Amino acid sequence: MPGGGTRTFLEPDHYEASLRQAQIEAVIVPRGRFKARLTWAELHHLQVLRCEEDSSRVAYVQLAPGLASVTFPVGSEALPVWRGREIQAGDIMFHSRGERLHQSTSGPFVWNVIAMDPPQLERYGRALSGGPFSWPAEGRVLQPASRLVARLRRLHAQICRLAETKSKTLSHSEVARAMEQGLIQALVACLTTARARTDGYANRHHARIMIRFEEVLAERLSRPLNVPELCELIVVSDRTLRSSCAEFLGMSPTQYVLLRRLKEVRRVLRDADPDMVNVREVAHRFGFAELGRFAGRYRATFGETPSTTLQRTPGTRFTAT
Amino acid sequence: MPSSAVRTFTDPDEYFAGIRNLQIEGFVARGEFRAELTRVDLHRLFMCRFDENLPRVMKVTPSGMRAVIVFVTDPGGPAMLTNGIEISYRQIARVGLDWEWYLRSSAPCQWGTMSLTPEDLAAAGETIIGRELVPATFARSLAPPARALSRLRALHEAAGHLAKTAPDILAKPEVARAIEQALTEAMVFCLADSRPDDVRNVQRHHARVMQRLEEVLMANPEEPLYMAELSTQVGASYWTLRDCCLEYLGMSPKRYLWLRRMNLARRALRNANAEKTTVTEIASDYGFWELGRFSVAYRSLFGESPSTALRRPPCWPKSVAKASGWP
Repeated sequence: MPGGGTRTFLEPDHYEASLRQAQIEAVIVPRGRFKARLTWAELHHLQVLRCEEDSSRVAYVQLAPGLASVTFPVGSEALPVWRGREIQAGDIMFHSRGERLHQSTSGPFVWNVIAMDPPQLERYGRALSGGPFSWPAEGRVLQPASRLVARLRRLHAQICRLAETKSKTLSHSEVARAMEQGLIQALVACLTTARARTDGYANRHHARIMIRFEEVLAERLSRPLNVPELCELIVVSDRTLRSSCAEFLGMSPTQYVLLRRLKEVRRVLRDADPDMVNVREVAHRFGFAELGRFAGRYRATFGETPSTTLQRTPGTRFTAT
Repeated sequence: MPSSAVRTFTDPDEYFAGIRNLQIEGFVARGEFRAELTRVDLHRLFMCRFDENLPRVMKVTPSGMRAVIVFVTDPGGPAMLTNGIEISYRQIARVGLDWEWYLRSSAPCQWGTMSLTPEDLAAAGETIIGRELVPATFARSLAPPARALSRLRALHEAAGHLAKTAPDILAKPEVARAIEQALTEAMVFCLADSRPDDVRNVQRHHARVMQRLEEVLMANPEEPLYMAELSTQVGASYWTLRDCCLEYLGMSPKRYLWLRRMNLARRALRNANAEKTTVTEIASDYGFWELGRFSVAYRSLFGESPSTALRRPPCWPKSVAKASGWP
C-alpha cells in the first residue's frame, strides 16, 4: 500500500537507520551539529525520498542494489561534490546497480532520490522513448534540458509535500498511481534525452581507490591507522591517496579516519549504560590512548563532551514529528 | 419511404447520439452549445447537414455498411480536419468504410455528409460513368472538379432547404427519386474525376496508432489512464502519441487523458449518492489530489461545481449513460 511520512533526526545514526529502511546504506560524518529531515513516499513501483541536512558533512553512500536509483541535489549555494566532482544545480545522477559513492557538502543541503523497480523503469523507458533503454553499468551524471529537470523537481516536490502534510491522500491508490505515472514520464524524459557528463580516467581511477579505502576502513576502524599503512592496504601511492581524499572528501585521509573512528566511539557511548561503561575504556578500545586529546577532538567534532553523550538517555537525542 | 427531420440540440451528448447511422463520441469546447441537424433519407441515398456553434472533436465509428463523403457547406467557414488532414472548401473527404475517423473543427462549422451503400455506389458508377467506384478503406481527401463539387453543394443545400421548409414535398416518392438521382450523379462525378491525395506512410502509421489507442481506452472504459502506461499499452513512444493526438484531436495526449479523467469523474459524480460519498473521494478515485484545482477545472469545463453535480439526483439522458469514457 502506498504511503509516506516525514521525520527529523538529530543523530546521524538514526538518520542512517531510516535511510537503510529505504535500502540506502550511508555512513555520515557530520561537520558540526547534525540535524536532518527525511521525507519519504512509497508509491506502487517507486519510492521517493527527500533528504534535508542542516550541516555540512561527508557521506559514504551505497544505493539499493535491487532498485534503479536517480539522485539529484536541490539548488544550494555551495555545490556538493559527488564522486569527486561538483554537481551543478540542474544535474541528475543515474546510478548503477548498488553504486557506492562519496558525497560531500559544504553547507546546508537537500538531495532527492527516486528509486524504482528496474524492469518497470526499463519497460517505461523503452515505451516512452521508443528506443533502447537500460540501466547504466556505471553511474552517470546527466544534464537534461532545464525544462525537463524543472518538471521532475516540481513533481518530486509535490509528492514530498503530500507526504509531509497529507499522507492519507497519498495512500489513496489512485492518487499514488497518478503521481507515479507523472513522475515516471518526467523521469524517463530526463534520462533518455540528457547529455551525460564524461568523467576522465583519473576520476574513475580515484573513485575505485576511494571505495577500496572504505573497504579497508570497515575492517580497521578500531585501531588508529597511519597513512603509510593505509597506502599499503589500499595499494596506492601516498600522493594519489591524498589527492583522491582531497577531491572526494575535502579533507586528508588521516582526518577522515579520525572522524570515522570518533563516530564509532560516539555510537558506542550513546548506546552504552553509563553505570557499566566509562569514557576512558571506550576511547581505549578504539585506540585513543590520550584521553585529554581525545575529549578535545570529540568535543570539537560533536559539540559536546564524550561524558555528556554517555550520560544522556537514548530517547532524548531523537525527535519525531 | 423517404423521410426528413430537422432538430436542434443544446446538449452535446444528445447531439452526438442523435447523428444516425454513425456511432459518435465527441467533445465540445467550452461554452453554450447549439447545433442544428438536418437529416434527409431518400430511397437509397442518405444525407445530413450540420450547423454547430462551437469547435468540437468527434470520433466516428462507421457502421461499415455505407460509403460516406464529408464536406464543408459554408463557403466562408473554416476548413475541417478529418484525421488531421485539412479539408478545405475545394475538397471533400472520403472516409474509410470501417476505419474510425476523427472530425475536428476549430471554429463554428457547417458541414454535410452523403452516403450510399457500397453496392449502390458501384452500380451508380457503372451506369453513369461506365466503371465501378470502390469505397475507400482509409479516410482521404479529394479535390473534385470545381463544377461537379459546386453542383453537389447546390443540390445538397436545396434538399436541406426542402427538409426545413417543405418536408411533405420531400416525402413524396417521385420527388425524392428525382432529387436522389441528381445527388447520386453529382456524387459519382465528384468521386470519379478527382485525384485522391496520396496517403503517406506516416498517415497510415498514425491511423494505426490511433486505432490502437482507442482499443486501449475501450478496454479500460472506467479506469483512469496516464501517459506512461498508455505508451506501454499502445506500444508507441511519447512523441508518436503526441504527433497523433495533435493531428487527430488537436490536443496533446496528456490533455486528452486528463479530459477523459475529468469526464469519468463527472460521470461518477452524477451517479453517486451525495450522502454516501464526497467530492474529495471521487476526485481521488480519478487521480485528482488537489481538490481546489480540480473544482476550478471542473467548473470551467462543465459549467457547474463538482459539489452541485454530486448533489443533483442521478437523472440524465440515456445518451450520456451510453457514452463511454471518451471525452
